[in-house]
Amino acid sequence: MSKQIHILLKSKDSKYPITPTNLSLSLSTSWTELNQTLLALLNELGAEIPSLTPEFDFLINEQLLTSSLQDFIATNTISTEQLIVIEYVDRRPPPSQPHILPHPDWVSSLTLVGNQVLTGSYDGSVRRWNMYSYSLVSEYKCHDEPITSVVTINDNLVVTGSSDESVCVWQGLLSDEPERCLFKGFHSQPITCLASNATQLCSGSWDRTVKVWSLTTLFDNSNLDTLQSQTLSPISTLEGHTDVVSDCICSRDTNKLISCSWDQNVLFWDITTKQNVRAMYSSKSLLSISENVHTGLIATGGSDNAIRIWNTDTDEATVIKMILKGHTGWVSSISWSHKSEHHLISGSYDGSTKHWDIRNNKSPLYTVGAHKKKLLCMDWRDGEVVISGGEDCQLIVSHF
Amino acid sequence: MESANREIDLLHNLEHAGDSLSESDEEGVLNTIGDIPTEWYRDFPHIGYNLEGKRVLKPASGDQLDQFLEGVEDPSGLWKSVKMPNLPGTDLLLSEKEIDMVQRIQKADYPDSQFDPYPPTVEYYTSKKFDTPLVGADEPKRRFVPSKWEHQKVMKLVYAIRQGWIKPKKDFEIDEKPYFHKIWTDIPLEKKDNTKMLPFVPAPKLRLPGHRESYRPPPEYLPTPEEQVKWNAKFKSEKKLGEFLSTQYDSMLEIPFYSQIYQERFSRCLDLYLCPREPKLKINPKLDPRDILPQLPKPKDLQPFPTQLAFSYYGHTGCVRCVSAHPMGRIIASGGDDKTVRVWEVSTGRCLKLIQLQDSVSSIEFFPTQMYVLLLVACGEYVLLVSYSVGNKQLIDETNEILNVSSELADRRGPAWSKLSITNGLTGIEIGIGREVRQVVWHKRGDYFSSVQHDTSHKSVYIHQLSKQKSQTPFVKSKGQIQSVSFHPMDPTFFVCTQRNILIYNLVAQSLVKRLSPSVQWLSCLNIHRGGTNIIAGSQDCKVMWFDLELSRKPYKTLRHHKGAVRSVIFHPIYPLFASCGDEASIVVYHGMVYSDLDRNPLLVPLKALRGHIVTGDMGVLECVFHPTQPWLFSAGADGMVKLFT
Repeated sequence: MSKQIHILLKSKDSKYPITPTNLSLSLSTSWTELNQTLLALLNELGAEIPSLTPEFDFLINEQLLTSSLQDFIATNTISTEQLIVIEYVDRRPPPSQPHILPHPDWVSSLTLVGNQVLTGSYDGSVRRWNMYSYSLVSEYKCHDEPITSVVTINDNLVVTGSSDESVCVWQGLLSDEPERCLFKGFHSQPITCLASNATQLCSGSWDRTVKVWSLTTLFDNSNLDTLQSQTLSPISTLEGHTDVVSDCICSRDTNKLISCSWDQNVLFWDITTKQNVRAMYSSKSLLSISENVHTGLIATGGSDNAIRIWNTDTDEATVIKMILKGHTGWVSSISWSHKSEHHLISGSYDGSTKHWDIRNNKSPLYTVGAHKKKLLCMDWRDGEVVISGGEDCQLIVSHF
Repeated sequence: MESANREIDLLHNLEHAGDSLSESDEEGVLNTIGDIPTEWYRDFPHIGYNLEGKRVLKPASGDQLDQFLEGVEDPSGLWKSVKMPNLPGTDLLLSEKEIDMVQRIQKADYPDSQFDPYPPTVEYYTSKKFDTPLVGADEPKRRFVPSKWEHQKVMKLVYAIRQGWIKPKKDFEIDEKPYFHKIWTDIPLEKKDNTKMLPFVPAPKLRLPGHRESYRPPPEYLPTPEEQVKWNAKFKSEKKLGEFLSTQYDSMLEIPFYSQIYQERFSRCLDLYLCPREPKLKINPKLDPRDILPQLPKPKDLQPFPTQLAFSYYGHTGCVRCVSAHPMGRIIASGGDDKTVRVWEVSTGRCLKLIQLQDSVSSIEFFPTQMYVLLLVACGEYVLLVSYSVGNKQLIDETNEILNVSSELADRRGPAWSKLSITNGLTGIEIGIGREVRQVVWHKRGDYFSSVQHDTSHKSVYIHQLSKQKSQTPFVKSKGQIQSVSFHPMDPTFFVCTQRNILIYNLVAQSLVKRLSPSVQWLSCLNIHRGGTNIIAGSQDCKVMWFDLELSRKPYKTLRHHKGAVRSVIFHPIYPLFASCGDEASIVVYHGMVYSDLDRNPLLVPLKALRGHIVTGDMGVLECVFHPTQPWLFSAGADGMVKLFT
């Protein structure tokens, strides 16, 4: 006869009612038993259950329950005397069977635009794929050297960064119009990363700087049709990194820019003052960075195969909130969910993408190991699709 | 005899002391009081006792007037007598000779009138110069210079005083505290110092006899007839000490007396007597042996250093002989037996450029600065300067410009500089050496480079100049089989690694500065620390040696972590790391901290053995190179892979 504990099941979601009474459960209750109990309870209460066999995840003290209650209580040292409040949320569905699209060369970067995907490749071409028909729509050779990064500004304009040290703004890559290079900007070394939001474009490079290019001049210029490869000069060159800038993002605070580098630092830049506002240090080279739009947490992928979650709210020295380990290769790309504040996806050189819930820092929720070789780039639209490309010349699409 | 007579006379005289003492002057009347000091009797009228026990009275001593009168009566004794201090009342008459002696002493003259203080000197050496001098040599120099030996002796003493071996006496500084015994305390006095006493040495324990040693052993211990024959055939010297053959006797009585018992006992006693009674220093068994090892920092605290295999660069179809990292750190180049040079992107493993050559590549190095996109390649019997055309267009154009061979320099002595004979879109220069090139290395500034050939003549090393497009041999004589060369990072110094020695030359003065001689069979490679005073060298007999040029010509440390021949050693350009790779396909990474403080020796800590390559054809990892900015390591393996360890 195992020990009994008292629990209260509740949910923040308004579609589920709060169970009125406290339940007494055996300590050795597993996740499946708890799930069945809750289902029976919800049926009894007459709640509207959307799917036929819904599954729930359980949270105790903001920690995801992955093992049995007994193990969880033992590892987290929770008193069994008191009432344990368990919050239940909808369990995320597992990713669908991946769909594989052959690609002519290595995929170095990709970006999701509506129902289309733009891929930049090592042969210097940008390709447009349709995500409904899984087919190549168009192809255009933008650079002679490998393309390292592709981003979109709006439905019309696409920016490419290349190993030939140029950043180009293109028109017509997203539509059936003829492709045309509008602007060109230059670094003194190959470009590694691009980021853009509505007002600015920034690029990181092997010359250890981040350059910010103004987009307002771009939009003010009414007659875009007359432009042809006009040289763009940066509004600011941000110097501070001591090694290659591996990734940069525009922060949710529109005036800020965040960049990470092989020199193990994450730097925050103020665009108006062109100053380095804040620096965060790790002990390994960083390869990719992403910012959570809800909480402001920063996630970085590193060359030590780990994902670091940085807390930006505190000014303390211990800004690393947690380290997620599980990959067996460099973490080349990382992306927070736009819908949920707890979920992120990481892609690694070991060929796999892992879906993490930061309320469970022990193991990923799901792992999709589809690439045979290194995964170089990945993009994710939460609830819809995860797409990744890599060294094995494949685009892998799975619905999420 | 005479003195005895004189004594008897004295006794006689003393009996009649009162009558006439002065008459007995010739006889020498003496007192018989013995050795008693006369002042004892100063206040008494007597001066002793005679044989009958009666007092001997003091003789009446005459005053000055009496003496004078006496002298008038007998002028011969006037001013010629002295009073005897131990014989009061007796005067001693001095002879002429004695008076003369006294007078001479008074005059501070020689007492003996016969003594001649100024005898004629025998002139063995004279001030006069001989016509034929006894010694013809010049005055030696040592007569004019301070003594060297005295100086040495003094310096020895000074050194001993400074070292504290000789302590000057402190006779004015005596602060001996009085010691009081604690007679009322229960605490026992401190233990006597027993260190001077011989320690107790227990006799070694003997094994207890077993069944085999029994006079009646069980049958399984008895020798078989074959063993018996074998034993008998053995010479005495072949038998081990204490070895014997069991024999069975029915009773104790039947045991024969051991024929050599006395001899044996004697030699045993002799052994015991002569055995060195030195106590063996036993390490305390409770002590952890790790505590005795020197305190090295833990590898964990010495991060960062490469710890794991990140990924491999696939493409080569044969053994990869060499790898080099671009000073920027974005690309690396490798070359090997498949006659190709491949340029790789570091971060992804993409082969950016493939250069097909005519012969296998044995050594490769990027231009040391970012000025040119230029690769130095040792390919067969040629040294190639190839533009690899990756990167900035302007740089590629500038590189192609300097790779134009000027025609006027064609008919020169020495190796010929010419345009590349293979023209599959490549621009470059080839320098025909005529022998298989073993190694090529750039000078840090990039104008000079050196090549090493498989040649034992003096032409085994060339130093080439890029700007003037000429080659020259630095040596006139053969230095033997040269394995590897290297330029000093700052000074005009050139390091040559021959089979047995490392020779260090000054290129400006054109002279040998130093010769390092590690006692190894066959050196294979060397690398210079960025400071220039520390060198690591690897050898074919599995050793990696660290030389501190300021310390000694012998290795400061010899590291034996490899099981195969060491192929390459390399320092990290920024981090305090160095690595070596060997034929057993492992790479060993060490922490090698060189302190700017001259008093501290370098700290060497082995950190990690990296494995990942496979031994192919008795060769493992052929070269390893560090990333210029990151603590990462690239390795070229005989299995056709270039691997990155992070």
